[in-house]
Amino acid sequence: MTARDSRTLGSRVPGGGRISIENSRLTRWALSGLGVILLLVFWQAVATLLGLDPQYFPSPIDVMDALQRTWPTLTDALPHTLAAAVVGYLIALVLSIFTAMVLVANERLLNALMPFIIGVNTVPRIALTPLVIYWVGFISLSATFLANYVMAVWVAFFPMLIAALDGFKNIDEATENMLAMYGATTWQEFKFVRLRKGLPFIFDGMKSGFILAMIGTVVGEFVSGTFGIGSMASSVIGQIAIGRAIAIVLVLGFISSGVVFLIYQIESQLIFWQESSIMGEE
Amino acid sequence: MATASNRPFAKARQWIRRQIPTVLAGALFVVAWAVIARLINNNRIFASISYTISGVMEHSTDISIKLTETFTSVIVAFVLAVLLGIGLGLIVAEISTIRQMALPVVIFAYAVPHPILAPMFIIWFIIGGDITIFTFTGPSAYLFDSVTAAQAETAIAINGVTTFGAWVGFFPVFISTITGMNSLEERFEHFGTLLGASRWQMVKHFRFWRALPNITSSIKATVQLSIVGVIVAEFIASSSGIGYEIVLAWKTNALGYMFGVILIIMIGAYLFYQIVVWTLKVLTPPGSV
Repeated sequence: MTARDSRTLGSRVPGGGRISIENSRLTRWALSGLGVILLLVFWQAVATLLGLDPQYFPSPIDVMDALQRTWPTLTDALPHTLAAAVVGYLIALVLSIFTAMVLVANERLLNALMPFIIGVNTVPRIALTPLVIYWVGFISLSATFLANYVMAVWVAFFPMLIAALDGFKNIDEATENMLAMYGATTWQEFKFVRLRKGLPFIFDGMKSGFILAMIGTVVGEFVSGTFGIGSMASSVIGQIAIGRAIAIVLVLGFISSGVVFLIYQIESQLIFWQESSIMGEE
Repeated sequence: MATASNRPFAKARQWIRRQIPTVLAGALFVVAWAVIARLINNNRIFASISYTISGVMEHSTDISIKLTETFTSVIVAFVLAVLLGIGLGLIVAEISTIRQMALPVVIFAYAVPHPILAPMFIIWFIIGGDITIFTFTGPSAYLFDSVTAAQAETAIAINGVTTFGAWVGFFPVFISTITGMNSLEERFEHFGTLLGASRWQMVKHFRFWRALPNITSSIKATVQLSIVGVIVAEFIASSSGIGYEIVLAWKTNALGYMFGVILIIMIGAYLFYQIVVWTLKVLTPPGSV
């Protein structure tokens, strides 16, 4: 806090530095804000000037209208979707880190399983959605919504696992030799070196992992039709209500970019030794 | 010159050696499948291999038609995603004002769980109608006697499914084009200035080539994403493609058929990925894949 204040103070001193960091950050924020405003204005102008049918090509104001009208249903549906996504995400996160630790500790097991992990990661896992729903429905028909939880785990797990594996293996030879010389146990290896070295990778996996968990849940709801944001969105197709579709996208987009931003904030607080990026590694 | 004549042979041997883990994993998968099916011993819970094969055989013409449809959509989506991603990426990377202005929108669009957008794309093309570029008779008409040319007709079209697939696949290419273009080393920057290169020449001779490795690696990610996009869109845009076939199999409790279709999608995705990687290797200069 004081550091930032002094930096801003310093930039006000005449002749103190050429262009201050804060100043250029301000311009960047202003430009970003301007971009959003321009987009909205352009969109509204096109819709109004061309006299487009608000049912098919709604203006931002029409979207706000639709949002207001669907708000009660939306707030009813949101907890279902978010619960599935968040619970699934957390399970996948814990599971992926734990599995990665076990695999990195047993190199032979890792080598044996690697083609399988890579294989599962490169096929479209989402195609399994109907099968998962079928199986969950087989166990208990009234608990079909559990399929959404399973889908969230299934879709988010493998990319996070690979990120954690990459992270834990990210130590150079000199460190490895040093650990061997000190006779470090596997647990000590993780405690002192690997966990810390792997953290940036794990955070990158966490950012895309949350989006993936949301994707799994939403597609699960698309197919199974259990009450939630996904089934709300797919029912819009029959009603041809674009305004509502955009409103749903906006709500879910803000939630998920909010969570990604939150993870990014935690990351930049926790990982002080290197720069973090909001997008993560693709 | 024994080495020269040995080279293709050695290369082939090396290639085979590299395939061993994949083949082993595949074999293990089949064995695991057979064992689990034997243990559960109920085709309604877990389809055995023979039940899956019979399920696929029963619907072989449907699968063949729908598969052609889906993979045609995937190719259209993939090409759109790559072209738009590189094109827009070049523009946005070059003009930093636009980059800064577009940043919040890009982050938002990246963070949205993309399936939620699929209904929008589908509705728009319900209203506006598909843009069909051209149609051709799919291979199913030649493979099966029972399939007429009209049934096997496949369209290369820009529709809800393909545009959504393109949207999903677009982001990795777009973002890595920007990242790649902006990570040109300073010495080349100076070198270009020294030679008096115009902005366009900088892009053409330096920045684009700096971005190429980033672009190729993102294209590999786009392969899977465009398949995911197309299948998700087919889940909800009723009556089209292999995605709808899985849903149909689920609704009719045809587990063997479902297993078969999923397996075929997986294999198709794997083959498509390998083809794209191979094409990239051939088309781009060495070292960029």
